[in-house]
Amino acid sequence: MTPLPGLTDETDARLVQAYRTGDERSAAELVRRHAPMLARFLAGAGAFPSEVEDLVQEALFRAFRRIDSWRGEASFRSWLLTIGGNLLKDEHRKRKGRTVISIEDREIRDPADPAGRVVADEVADRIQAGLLKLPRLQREVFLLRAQQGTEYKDIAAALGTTPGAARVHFHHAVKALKGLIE
Amino acid sequence: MNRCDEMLDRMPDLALGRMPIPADFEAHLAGCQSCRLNWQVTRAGSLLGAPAAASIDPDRIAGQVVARLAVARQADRRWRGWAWGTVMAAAAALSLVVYTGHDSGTSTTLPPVTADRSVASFEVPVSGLDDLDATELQTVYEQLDGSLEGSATVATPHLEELSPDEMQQVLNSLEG
Repeated sequence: MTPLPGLTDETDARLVQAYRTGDERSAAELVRRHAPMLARFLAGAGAFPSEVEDLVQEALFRAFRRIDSWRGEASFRSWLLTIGGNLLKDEHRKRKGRTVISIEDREIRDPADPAGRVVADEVADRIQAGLLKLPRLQREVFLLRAQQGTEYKDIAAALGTTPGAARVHFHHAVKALKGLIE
Repeated sequence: MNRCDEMLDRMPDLALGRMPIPADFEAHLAGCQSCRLNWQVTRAGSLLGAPAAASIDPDRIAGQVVARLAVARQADRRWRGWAWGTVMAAAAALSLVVYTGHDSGTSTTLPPVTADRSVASFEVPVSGLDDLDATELQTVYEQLDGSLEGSATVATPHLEELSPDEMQQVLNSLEG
């Protein structure tokens, strides 16, 4: 498996260590490299499109404020996503569970394949809507695995469960979502 | 673990393009409806939120986060300074109390408090103070002040000077 260029855990750990010793540029670098994936995760988990950037900023700010609680059991990336998930949960609680499905996802289909695009749009919309109805743990495991490509072991470390349980949650999530497109 | 479960475990990496799609995978999908649906779900999941990632400005967010962290660190320093100052002041005050008490070598005895009839009988209209204007409040203050001044000259009676009836009244009042 090929890791994304420049996004290795090793360099994350180095940057975190540099930040802990007072290097602010390391924080800026970590934000730049992880903000896009955090935005994707939050949007996939039901964040309002117009508020994604603010949520990303808040999640990263919170992460750096409690940077000492990251000890490397999970990857820095998974740890950030967990903080993002908790932040989103808090936001939903404040709004009494109001959720909005991102319609922006429709814009990413292949314009050269209009028929395929319509089908893909429909599937994506159903998946996105169905995802919001899943239990939180299943939803986050699905996003971590399917959207972020996180391994079960790392998901388990980030969410405080076991790799086996993470796998079961992923399979259950896919089974539930599959029922929406059959 | 059956074949379909194994396939599902591999799908996210295939959908994200981290691994080339092997021939046996496509062959299995061709004959397995359940895995085809799993593949659709997994592929859709791999694309969720992509526009959100494109819509944000990581450089701007980095600048904002770093600026907020700097402000938060300043606030932390002020808070630590205040907390440290408070602890030191409390420690100094405690030391002073301990030191003065220890230095005298004797315990301080406060004079006994005796009831003063004139003060006890004076009624202050506390419940009505809110309704008074400034002039009325000044009047009440002057009455109170004068009464207290006058009370200072009244001699405190002693129990042995009371008549049997007065003594009985005192006992009754004590017993409620």
